[in-house]
Amino acid sequence: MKRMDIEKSIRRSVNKAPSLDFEKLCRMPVEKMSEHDYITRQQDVQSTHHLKKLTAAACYMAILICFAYWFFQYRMPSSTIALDAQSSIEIVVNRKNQVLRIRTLNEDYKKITEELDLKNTDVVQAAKNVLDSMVRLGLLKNSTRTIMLSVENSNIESAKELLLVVGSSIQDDLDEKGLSLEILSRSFVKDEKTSELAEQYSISSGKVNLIENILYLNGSSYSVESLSKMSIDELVEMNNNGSNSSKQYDNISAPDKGKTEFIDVADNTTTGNMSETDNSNIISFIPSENENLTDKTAVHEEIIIDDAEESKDYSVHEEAENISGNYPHEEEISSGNYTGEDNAVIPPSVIIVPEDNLPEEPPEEIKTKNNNSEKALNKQTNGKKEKNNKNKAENNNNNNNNKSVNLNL
Amino acid sequence: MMVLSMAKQKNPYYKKNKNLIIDETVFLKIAEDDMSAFEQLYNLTESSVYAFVLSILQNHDDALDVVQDTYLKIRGAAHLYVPMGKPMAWIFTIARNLSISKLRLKRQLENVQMDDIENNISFSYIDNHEDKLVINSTFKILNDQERQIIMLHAISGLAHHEIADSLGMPLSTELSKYHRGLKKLRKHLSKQEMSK
Repeated sequence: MKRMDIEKSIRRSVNKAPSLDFEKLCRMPVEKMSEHDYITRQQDVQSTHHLKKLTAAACYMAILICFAYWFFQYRMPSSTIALDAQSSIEIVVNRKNQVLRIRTLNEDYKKITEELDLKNTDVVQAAKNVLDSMVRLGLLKNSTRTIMLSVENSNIESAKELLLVVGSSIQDDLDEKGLSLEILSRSFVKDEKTSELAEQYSISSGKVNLIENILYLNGSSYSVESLSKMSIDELVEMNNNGSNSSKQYDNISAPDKGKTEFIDVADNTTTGNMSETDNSNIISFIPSENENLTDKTAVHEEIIIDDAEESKDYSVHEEAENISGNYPHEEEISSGNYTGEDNAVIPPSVIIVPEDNLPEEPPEEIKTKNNNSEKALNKQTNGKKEKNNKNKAENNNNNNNNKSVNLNL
Repeated sequence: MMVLSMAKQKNPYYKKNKNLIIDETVFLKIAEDDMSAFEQLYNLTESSVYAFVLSILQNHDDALDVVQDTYLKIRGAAHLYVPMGKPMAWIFTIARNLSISKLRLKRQLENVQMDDIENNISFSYIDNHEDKLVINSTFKILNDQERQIIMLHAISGLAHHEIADSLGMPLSTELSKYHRGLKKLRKHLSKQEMSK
């Protein structure tokens, strides 16, 4: 039977049913109601529909917010941790420090990504596993002395925290394995230009950051392309050489100042923050003050001298490796309290250059560059300058020897 | 109550019901005891209200009682009616509430179970065997909502969206129940024909 036949049949049946007598219905007495009762009450269908629509919209919004939160927390890259030796490998993590992906463009290093499935693994464990794989696959040459651990984040504090956690964990891991490797730790704020260069030369942003330092210190005698092919050992050596040669340009601002933070992983202490020391110079790497310097697996840090004028006074060149014994406290050096007395043990590789031997004025080209940098950073430094001026006044009083310290590896 | 019942005339407004439009001002006229306005409303809606009540009560006599009470209630509360664009929804609300009251009262007085209600179905006034089979199957096979939707669609000529509005359910639900009900009926009727 078709649909229409069924409906017709039902219609016929109902129409045949006896109906009410309308005349009698009209004659029946009706009492007018003063108000609606439960039988005649009117339902506001429209408002019910509006309520339903609003409820649906609220549910949709709630789902959207939950999804956005989940995506923001778990799927959006927050930090990039890079391990650099002969080549670079980057671990991209979310806000929960879980691994989202591992990136490397080096064919040898790609074996690591093929070997390891680290998605959603905690970053500390992931970094350890990557380092293990690098060792196992022979990607760390015997001659490798330094690996660089860098953390890039939009927030320098978060980068610093993550660097401390991962760095100390890797340090412990290396200690357990008895590997004589130095870890160079760097944390810096995300920068589009750095990322573009890293992408262009297939290296990590941390390495680009280091290369920018070297280029700054060595002028235009090198290109990013040529430096990108070098290992961290070579770059560190070049950076040190560049730092040595740059001792005369004390007032030069580093190109990445204001965004680089140097951390002593072993001590979990921050030794300098370039974002706060605008007129300071990047000097170089020296072992941490509390580090056992006889241990080859020393963690390096970069020391920043707050005031450029102070740095004119002293120029100390220092070798980090295989140094043993006590050496001047960095605060002593930077504040000018260090007097070079006989009872203080000066590391054998530290050379004190008398102020007289330093050129008084940097070359014109460098001065111009420095002036431009200072202008750009002027806004950030206004507050800090006042503080620095205070410190400067105090330091000048204390600085009997009228010398500055420049530390180089 | 049965005094009022009489052979039902062919509804002259039925064809118009295909585009059932009720002017809501009719309730104001009814409130002023305008019997022509009441007659107009009655002729337009009586079949639909009867079908709707019958689909709930499954008993012709009880359905007629409730239909009568429904129109008396309309007369008594017409002055309280607030136009909301859905007059049929209000009429069906009154009819549904009265039907439920009737069922409750019947259960209390006679201790009638739902199974017994099914036994009350009798369409002695239907002489066509096929029509009797279809209407009996409609009450036996379909659930309340499927039955209400199919009967309203067949008798009142209301469009699906109007039925959905009147019964306060989404159009998609109304449509799925309608098609599911018809499918069940067709299947059942095919089996009945095969068994003969």
